[in-house]
Amino acid sequence: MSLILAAVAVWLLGAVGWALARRRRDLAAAIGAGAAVVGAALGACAAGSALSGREAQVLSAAWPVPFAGLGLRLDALAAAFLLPLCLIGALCAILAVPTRHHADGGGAGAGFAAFNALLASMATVVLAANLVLLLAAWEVMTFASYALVVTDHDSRAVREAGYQYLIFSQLAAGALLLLFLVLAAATGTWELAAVPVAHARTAVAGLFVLMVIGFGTKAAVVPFHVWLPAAHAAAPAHVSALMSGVMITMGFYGLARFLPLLGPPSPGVAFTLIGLGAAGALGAVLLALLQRDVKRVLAYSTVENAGLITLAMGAGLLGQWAGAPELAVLGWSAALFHIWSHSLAKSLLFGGVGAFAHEARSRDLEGWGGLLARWPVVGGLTVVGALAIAAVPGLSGFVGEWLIFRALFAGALVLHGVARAAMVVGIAVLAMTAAVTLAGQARLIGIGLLGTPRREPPAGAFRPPARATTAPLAALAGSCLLIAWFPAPLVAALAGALATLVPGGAPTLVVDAVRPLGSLALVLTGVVALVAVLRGALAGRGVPRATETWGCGYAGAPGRTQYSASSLAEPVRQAFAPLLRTRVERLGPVGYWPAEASWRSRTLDRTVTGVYRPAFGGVSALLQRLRDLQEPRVTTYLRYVVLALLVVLALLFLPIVVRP
Amino acid sequence: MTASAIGALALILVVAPLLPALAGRTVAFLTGRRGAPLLQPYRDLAKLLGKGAVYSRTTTGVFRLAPAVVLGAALVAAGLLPLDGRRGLAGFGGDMIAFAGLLALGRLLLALAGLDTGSSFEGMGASRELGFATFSEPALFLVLGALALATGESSLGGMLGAPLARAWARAPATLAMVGVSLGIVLLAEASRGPVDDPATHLELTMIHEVTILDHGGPDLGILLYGSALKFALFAALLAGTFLPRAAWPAPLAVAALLPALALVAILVGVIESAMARLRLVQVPHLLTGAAALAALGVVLRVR
Amino acid sequence: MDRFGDVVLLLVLMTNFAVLVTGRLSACIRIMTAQGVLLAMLPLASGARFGVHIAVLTAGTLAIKAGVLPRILRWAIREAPVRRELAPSIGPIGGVLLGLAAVGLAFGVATRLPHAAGLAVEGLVPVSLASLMMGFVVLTTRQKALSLVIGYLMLENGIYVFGLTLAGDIPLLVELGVLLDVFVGVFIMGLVVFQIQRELESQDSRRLTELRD
Repeated sequence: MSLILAAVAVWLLGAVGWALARRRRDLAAAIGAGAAVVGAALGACAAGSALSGREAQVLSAAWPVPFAGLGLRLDALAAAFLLPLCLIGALCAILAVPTRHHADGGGAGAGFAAFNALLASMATVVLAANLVLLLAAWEVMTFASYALVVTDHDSRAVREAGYQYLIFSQLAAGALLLLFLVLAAATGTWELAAVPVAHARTAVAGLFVLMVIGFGTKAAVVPFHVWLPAAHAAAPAHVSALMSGVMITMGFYGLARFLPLLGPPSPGVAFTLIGLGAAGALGAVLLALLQRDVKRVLAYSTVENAGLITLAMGAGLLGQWAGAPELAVLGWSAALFHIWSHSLAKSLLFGGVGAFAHEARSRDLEGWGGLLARWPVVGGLTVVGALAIAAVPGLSGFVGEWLIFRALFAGALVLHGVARAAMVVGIAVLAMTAAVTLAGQARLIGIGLLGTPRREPPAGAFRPPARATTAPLAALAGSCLLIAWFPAPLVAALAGALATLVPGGAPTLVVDAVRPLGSLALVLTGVVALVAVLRGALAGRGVPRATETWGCGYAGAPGRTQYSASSLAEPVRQAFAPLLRTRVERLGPVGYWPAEASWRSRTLDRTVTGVYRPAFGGVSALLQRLRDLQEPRVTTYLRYVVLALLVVLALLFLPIVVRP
Repeated sequence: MTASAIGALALILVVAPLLPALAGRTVAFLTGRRGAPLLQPYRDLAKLLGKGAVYSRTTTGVFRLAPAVVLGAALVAAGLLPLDGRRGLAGFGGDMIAFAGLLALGRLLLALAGLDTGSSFEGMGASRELGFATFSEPALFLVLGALALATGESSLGGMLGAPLARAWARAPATLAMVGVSLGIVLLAEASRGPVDDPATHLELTMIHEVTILDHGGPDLGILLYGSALKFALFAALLAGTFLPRAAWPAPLAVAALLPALALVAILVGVIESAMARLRLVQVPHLLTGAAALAALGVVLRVR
Repeated sequence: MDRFGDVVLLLVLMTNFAVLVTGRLSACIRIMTAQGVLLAMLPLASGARFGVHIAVLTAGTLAIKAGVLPRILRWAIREAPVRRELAPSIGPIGGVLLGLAAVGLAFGVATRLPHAAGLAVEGLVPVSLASLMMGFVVLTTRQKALSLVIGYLMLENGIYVFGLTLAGDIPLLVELGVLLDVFVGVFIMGLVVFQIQRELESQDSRRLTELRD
């Protein structure tokens, strides 16, 4: 416990320490990054020991805030979320260092202050054993991340993205406040209960909705994901990496911690999560395939993975409800494992792609191309991240996806009726999602990093990358491979967390299940290496000739006549056209000698155009009407005051308000 | 790890290049031509492997890595499949997901290698390959789901092994639908007509052939062998579905693989010569049909 | 459901799917002819004792559903030159997905119906419900008047399949009456289609609103 307290303290010191060195960017960056790394190391030690520990470490102290207490508890579930936080937090802090001289980099003092505050608040969220403390940490987390998102606040788009993020976060926080109030009223204490309290059935439904809104917004569960693509595109790369890799897992921590408090799992809750997860994953991955902004591609991919995790949680709950222990254990461990593997791969990808975007001075995929040849090391590491996200065997993403598939297959075999049908539909949707994910990552890498440049990068770009850029990315890529090769130890390490989620489940079942996957990844690596060596021997006998790409005799403008990102995605877009809302603008070609022609498509997020825009428009229209209540006369306001007083007094006569 | 599994694996590795040749020969026969000799693919492979390499200056290491990954993934996938009707060389619970994942890995690297050349031809091929997989993948997984429900097993060894024979007695309708659906998926995954046209190379309507347009020499040889192996794997999957051989004596079960594969290849040739190639927008319709068939098979098993 | 009758029922379902994915009217008519032949085979497989009752039912179904009705429809497309359903509001993929949803729902509902148990062919009830719903899908997503006739026919075939569950109990006369009823219905609709074509120079049923006073 003292270790983690020390970690939080170091982070908080880092958050204020930059003030000492405001003028000197190098010193500020050293202090900020140093504090983040030292704190993370301390935190990782604490989490590592707690991961296997049977007993939760508890600390409670008085805190002079009403209802609050400084109650902290570090159990296996908290540790399962704390460890990736520390690991990725430290690496992202190192990634931030080279950006300290950029105007938009966020690596300067203030940026590190917010970064350290974000780490400290996220750690407090997973540790908090008191609802008020949890909510306070949650809000600090929101504001710290908001500050990081608007690092480049000279840009109007960035300010708008930040504003949107803040609004959604506060709506979610409102839901959480309500949730905590109801829970506290039911239990009679502000301590985070460890055991469920019996609620009425309607109350369970209401509490569940509040949880999905409150935690789901942070976790980017569709349809509460809308803030995420804009915020991730606006934030500096290392911030997106941290937010996408770690901060969204806070939402899942909340769900994992609070869903069991609803009492015995109900099919409604499970099916809702499965439905939201499956629909969200497929919808988001289609949007990811159709974005032009590279960081929005990654952001929608994050939403997709959030959907997969939600789906896995739903499957686990369904297993608990139906009394199918195999499904319950597989589902929950799939969720936990996927949280880990996605955290690592997505922060790697955000780090790599963000570095490229900074060098190219553009996030437009249609202008990229041939970047791997300029930066082979960063490019190669980015390809590893993309393969991990594409969930192909040999990398970490596959293990998570395999576990979800495995859970659904297990569910299809043991469940009956509607539940069985839901499992099979889930399998089909997941398969389609996987295929579209593959296409999306192929598009990101193939169009963005391979081929020839579509637009020349600015002069002076792509100087050899800093060690502080490549080293963290290499560490992340290494861990993606390591998890794929040895998944069983990780699953075994998560057994304690699993035991708190599925009491009485047998985690060894999953450990044994994933063991062949490790061998598979190793064998695959070996076979591929063998074939590569053979191929090299065959191809290397003569001097390989270098020529142009065969272009049917046409040799003009090789960069601009390449297949574009939009055209690559076009077959999928057309096939899914009824589901998508795409604006296509086309011009010409007209006549026998067409002068100019253009084709441009833009696919919008239906939840934005269909739900939020009308809803917020309606609210705003309603509020416009309330303006009429305002009158520049004091007597009017006095009348309002009297009216309000009367209403409050009248409430006292209602029996439900005044309890005996 | 049994002798029969190793024998069956060796058999399929040897005969894989025969299958496209046999299908091509069938098409030639049905259209009144003689066709290339059956052993031509082996000569082609020998010639290609002996050639020197030519690379475009645009390409990077991804282009050179792709053939190794495509073939490596197909080889490992072959190890998972119960080719002797009993158990794969390295089968495990949930290996069907790994099987699909390995083929997806091959597809991803193939698409990346195509895009690495910076040519629109390869880009077009990659785009179509990736796009159609969006529909063939759910169909394949619905097939696997229906097989799992019909047999009560969740590994390839179980689904295509002893429980399958019992399932044929209990649920022939489901399995027949699954088989047809799998056949359609085979046509798409092995790049055969009416989805793709394996006969021509440089046409804007092609999918697989145009993606590998810039590969030459040993690389092309490896890729050709890899795609033949993929064809053989799906053919073996199809043969395993219609012909449960778990109760047969091991040598017979392995030997039966040969005529079964040949039959699939001939059927593919017949379909190819009987049907015109579909318009590209219709390919997803065909694959949705396959998925629907498998889904109907699942509906029959939902109780 | 793996006996002969069930295989026939599955083929009936497949023909329904075939209608959902195809836009060509002549192909739809051919498919409905095939469905008529399949439906005629059903009384033989429904488990009732073979006798005059079943024989007449089979012969009557074959004559009307596979003989007369397709001929009327073919006459209608010959007289009114329409070949294709233009602009169905959902594509083939949407049609298949809606059809699958209908089948899933039908099989789900059928297990809860009190009648479902104890039938010789257990697929009768779900397949009839599925045919009904798929008929509704066609009726609600297509615009050409002739497509609507085909949707109506699918719907009616669903009712016919449901009727087979009671084949042993209902007098022959009633069944023949039902068959005749449909025959007359389609006959009249064929005439109406022809008239619409002549009046409006089009078969677009949306344009029927122009006929109001």
